[in-house]
Amino acid sequence: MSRAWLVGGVFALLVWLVLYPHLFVLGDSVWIDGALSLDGYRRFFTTPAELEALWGSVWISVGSVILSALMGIPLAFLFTRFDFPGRTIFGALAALPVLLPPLVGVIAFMFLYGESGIFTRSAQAALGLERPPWRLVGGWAILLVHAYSMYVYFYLFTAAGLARLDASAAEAAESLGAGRWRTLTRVTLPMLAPSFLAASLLVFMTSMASFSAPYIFGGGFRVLTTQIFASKVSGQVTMAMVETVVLATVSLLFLWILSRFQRGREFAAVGKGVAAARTEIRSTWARVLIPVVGIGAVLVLLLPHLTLVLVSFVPEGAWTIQILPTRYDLDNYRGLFSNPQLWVPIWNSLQMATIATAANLVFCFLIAYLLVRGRFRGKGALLTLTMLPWALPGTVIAVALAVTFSANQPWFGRWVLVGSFWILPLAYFIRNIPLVAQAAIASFRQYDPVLEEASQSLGAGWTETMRRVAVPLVLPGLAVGGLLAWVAALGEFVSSILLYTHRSRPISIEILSQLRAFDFGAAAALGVVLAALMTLAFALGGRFVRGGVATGPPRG
Amino acid sequence: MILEVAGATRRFGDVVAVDRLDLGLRRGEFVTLLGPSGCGKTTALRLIAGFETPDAGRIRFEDTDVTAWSPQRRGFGMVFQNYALFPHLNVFENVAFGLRSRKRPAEEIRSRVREALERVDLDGYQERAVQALSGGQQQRVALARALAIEPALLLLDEPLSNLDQALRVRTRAELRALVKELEITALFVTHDQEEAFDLSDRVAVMRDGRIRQIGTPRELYENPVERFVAAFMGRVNVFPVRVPTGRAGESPASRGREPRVELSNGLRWTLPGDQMDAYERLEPGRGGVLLVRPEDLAFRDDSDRALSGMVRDRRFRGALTLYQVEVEGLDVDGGSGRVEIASASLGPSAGTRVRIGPRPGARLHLFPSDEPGR
Repeated sequence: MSRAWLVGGVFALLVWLVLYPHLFVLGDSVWIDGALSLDGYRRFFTTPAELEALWGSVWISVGSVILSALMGIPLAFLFTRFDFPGRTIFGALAALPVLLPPLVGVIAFMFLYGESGIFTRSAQAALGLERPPWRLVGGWAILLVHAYSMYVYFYLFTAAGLARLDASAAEAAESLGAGRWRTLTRVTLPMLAPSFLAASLLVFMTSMASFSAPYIFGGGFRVLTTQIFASKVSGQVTMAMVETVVLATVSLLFLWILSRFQRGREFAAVGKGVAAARTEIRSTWARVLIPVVGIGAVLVLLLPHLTLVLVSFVPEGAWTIQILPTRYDLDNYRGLFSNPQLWVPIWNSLQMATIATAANLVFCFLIAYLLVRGRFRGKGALLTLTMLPWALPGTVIAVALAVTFSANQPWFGRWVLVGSFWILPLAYFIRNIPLVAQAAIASFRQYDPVLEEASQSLGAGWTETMRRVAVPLVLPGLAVGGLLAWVAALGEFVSSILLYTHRSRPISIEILSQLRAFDFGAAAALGVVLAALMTLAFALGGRFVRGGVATGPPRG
Repeated sequence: MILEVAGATRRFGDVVAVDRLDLGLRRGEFVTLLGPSGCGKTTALRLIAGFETPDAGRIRFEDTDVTAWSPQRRGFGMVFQNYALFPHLNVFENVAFGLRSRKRPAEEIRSRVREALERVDLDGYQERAVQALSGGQQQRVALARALAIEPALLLLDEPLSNLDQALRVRTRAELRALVKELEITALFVTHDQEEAFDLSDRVAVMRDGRIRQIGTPRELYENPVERFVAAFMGRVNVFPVRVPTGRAGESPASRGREPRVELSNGLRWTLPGDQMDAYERLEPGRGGVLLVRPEDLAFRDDSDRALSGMVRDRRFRGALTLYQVEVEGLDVDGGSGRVEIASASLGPSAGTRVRIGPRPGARLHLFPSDEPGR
């Protein structure tokens, strides 16, 4: 390919932004007072608190996978296999938490089940206790919050797996004399194994990288992400770097192990396949029980989010020791427009997310083009670099950027960005490369490359072919990826907390400071604004995609 | 020659897709590359279109070396197998695509799109979405799109293979009429021999990346240069034969004026004079194959050189009736192992004992056996 400059440029940018900063982290972890030393690592592996954090990260992640699976899988079966009134709407609602930024989910949980949460106080009152019946802190609290938000991955993946599943395999098993239980355990569940593995991987990586839940509910409980934050804030630079290296290594190690499991476990349906028919519920008790369990479970899962909406109407000082707030008004929402303390972060987040996403769209389009259409050596390396930010926790990326872009050495590709407006858009951009690139890759794979040849044969050059053929065809899928990236950047918290400046603080940081000031109403209102912006983006996005050509049915 | 391909070679890894290909097209000529799948015909077309660059060899167009030119610089019109219509553009914009690339004024674009669509009988479909069209209509839009840029050379990559049989035959006639009317030089790729014969002035038969024979359909059918070409041109009986061994030390040339070959059941057939060269090339004792088309065999009661057998099947095929005759002790390569005869008249029914032999003036083709030592 004669577009060597394009390959070179994309590679250079990826190496500079995705790989290069981590070398500084690695370097700083062994470069102590001007000399090479493994002291940091020795200290890490001999300090009980550090080992506790490492162990904490691992068992919380494993526990989150198990709990999320126990919640998500049965729910998916319930909503895809049985037909009952309200199935469609509640089935869709159950997937809703995937849209919410983790921090918003965490504070919603706090308003409901926290020490002074509505549910906790109700229980206290009902039982006539003097103290709240529980304090939501420590490992179990983190685990609970994780399961509450991450069941969605199991729910969505299992539902998708069930939809793809060839029902004739189960029918064949039944015709061979297998009972229902046997069919489920010997045919259906093994065939869903790829879905379970994919969801496990996602949950594991997400909880490994999780910061919001341990930060807010951890109490004294240590995990690596919060430990890095604490070390960095208290100025223990070497320790912060060592912890970052350990977290990155553990994440990549588990990713490697889990993806080895995944390999060779894709079951393609042999032959055309039949979609499973939904079972109509026949027995009377089941007809009552299944919808009650299903809808009930969804309501319980959505309760924190409803609480968030409720609390957003509570003015400051109107909810102190009562079970439910005493007054509701629109003050918090008015404040969003009148109080610069509140609307500046919204404006900041909108700006920064938009800049980052715009860059993602252009850059990831080019990456995907090269990965899908290009013929050159090093494609595997390009793909690895592209996906690397997905495997690395946001904390790791933020620390790496903080180290790299805090010095001015233009010859080494370093400029001072820390403390400027640009560091956060850069972090969002890097973190969202895998997401947007994946969407673009899928879109490029969806249309026949012969269309590009047709364009060339009609006299269009490369740029014209991109503009008139590739971009319009890739756009619907790319836009959805961009939308997801924009939404993620809008609510980003993990990297932001390590990199923000007061002037360009994003929404998530403001939510945190409102919580610290015990203005729960304002924090909730900001959370609701985030959720609303996301819902809006998806409503618009859905329409855009439906109008597009990639997914639209043939017209006429 | 308007297009000259000289020694073009294209490798993909270890596979040589196109191997030292030579091909020349005269102005206004309709030429087809014909061959089984994997023979390199599509790669050859893509080399000419500019989507592939040859590892060796040159491509000249109108006396200019275009080997290194990009497809858009060559400006050849191309119709793709799956049409490659732009799904995000309507019929008008699809046809206008190349004209917009050429920055033609809007008025000209409108009239030329209309003209192109009129030619393929689709005027009035301008605003339709391409997905809403039938397969045949899509194929015509693809053709109109390629014609709209008034290409000096039209390349067609199996453009009819996605149509159903009846439509394919009709479109064939329309396509040839249109190309001839516009006096366009066209290069067509197909694996369908009937299609190639129907459309082309000349046909190039390809195998293993090389052109084995190029000529008019009639030349290929009547005088194939090798067994592969003969077999690809239509139904054919393949009889393993050998040259009868004469006295020791006898040279092929001194075996007499009458070239004769021995069938596997011992019967000897005399070859027509045009097979003398092939006969002489065959070494004594070494096997060969004798190819005879079904219509060159006939029921003959008169000849003592006739094969004796029994009709096993009789199938009515319109103008011809096709018979399968089982001859004891006679090997027939491939197919049913029976001798196929085609006759214009309705002859003996299944179960009848018959005698068959070459009709007078029949063309028999002698080739060396593919497997040595047979």
